[in-house]
Amino acid sequence: MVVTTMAEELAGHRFFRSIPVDLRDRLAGCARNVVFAPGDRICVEGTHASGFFAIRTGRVNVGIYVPHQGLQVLETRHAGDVLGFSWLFPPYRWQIDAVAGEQVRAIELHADCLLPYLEEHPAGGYLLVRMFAQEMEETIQSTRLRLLDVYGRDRVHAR
Amino acid sequence: MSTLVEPRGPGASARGSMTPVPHRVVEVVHETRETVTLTLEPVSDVIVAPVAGQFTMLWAWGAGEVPISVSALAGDDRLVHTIRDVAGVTKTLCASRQGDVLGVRGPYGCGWGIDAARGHDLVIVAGGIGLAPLRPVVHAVLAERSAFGRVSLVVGARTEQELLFRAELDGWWHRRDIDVRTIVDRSSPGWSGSVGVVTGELVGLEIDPASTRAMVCGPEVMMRVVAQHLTDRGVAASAIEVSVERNMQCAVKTCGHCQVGPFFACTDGPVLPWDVVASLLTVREL
Repeated sequence: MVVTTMAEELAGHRFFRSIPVDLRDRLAGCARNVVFAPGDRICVEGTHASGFFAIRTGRVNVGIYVPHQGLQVLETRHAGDVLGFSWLFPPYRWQIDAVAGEQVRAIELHADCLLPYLEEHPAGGYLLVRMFAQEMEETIQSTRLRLLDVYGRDRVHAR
Repeated sequence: MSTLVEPRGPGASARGSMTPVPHRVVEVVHETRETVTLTLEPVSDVIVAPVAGQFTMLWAWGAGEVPISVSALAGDDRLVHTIRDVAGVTKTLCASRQGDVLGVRGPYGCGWGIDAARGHDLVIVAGGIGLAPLRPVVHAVLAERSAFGRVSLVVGARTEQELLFRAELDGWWHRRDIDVRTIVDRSSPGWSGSVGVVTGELVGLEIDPASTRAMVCGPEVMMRVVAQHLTDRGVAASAIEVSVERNMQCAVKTCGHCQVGPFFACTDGPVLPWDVVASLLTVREL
């Protein structure tokens, strides 16, 4: 059996692949492996956002619970994605609900451990915030594309 | 004008006659609320057999004519077309019944580079009705599966209800030799798949850039985003084919309606390599 360290696992994840080794090693100290069964709630809107998740395998449905209608899935996060931005900003409260769409293996990184370190090491903090900003930009762009309703507006393509 | 892209496929340079050849509707399958697959057989004269990616001009008597890609290769004289009702002529075509007679011209245009994909990994990305022109590619690849490396099919749709060829998709999904992923813009109760844009499903695909070829068909914005994603991951722009659709009216490079810069979508396309059309598709009003 091959045993890998948390730093090695982070290095194998798309999100952390390009960060400096010393920062990755530090992040590894704030991380642990977690597994969610299908249907497990990973984030609950309004509760304390204690960190974020780097998804290794599986699919996470992100949405908002609507009374009497259940979770309205707005997007799916996949292996290689990160889940959770709310840990970065006050009031550190989840803005979304997230449920495992299938068995999910992820690395959970804890804000209580990360934030003090990033405050004291602005270079690393800046880099990580930039990486999250890029994820946010991609999420916004994906939302824009769906707002465009390209399939519905595609009146040229009768085929 | 010289053609900058080498014609591909046996019918690539076919001009055909401008006279529609009568074909009878022998089967009507309602795929979704607004999409219908028609199987046609010749009343007497037969047209040249199309290849995957080509289109014919379908004529509904008294309504007009539209370009429609072949959505399956019957292997005989029959033609299979999947049509989305976007009003006008397509509404009439979608209302066709068994026994009705339609006119057919063609086939026209360049098909998908299936031969060039042999020996390579293949990523097929379809959005909305874009799955119809790519369906014959999937059929061809699965019929000769060992000739290709890893094969992935990513299908995007507005909603689950608008996914085309559901039974066939389910069949492909259960196979081990093709990685099928579906994603919808908007979820509905009971949908257990992914929600988002097609690139969301591409992120998780293992791609070996050096040996990957891609075929992409769907709304132009979608094709642009997918091609960008693939080139960002190292896939050569020349290894990505897209199906460029424009307002094709004559289909024989005469009327100019489907001109895209130096190309005519009807004869130089509709399938064109991304390195050739990438810069043209970002030119406004082109």
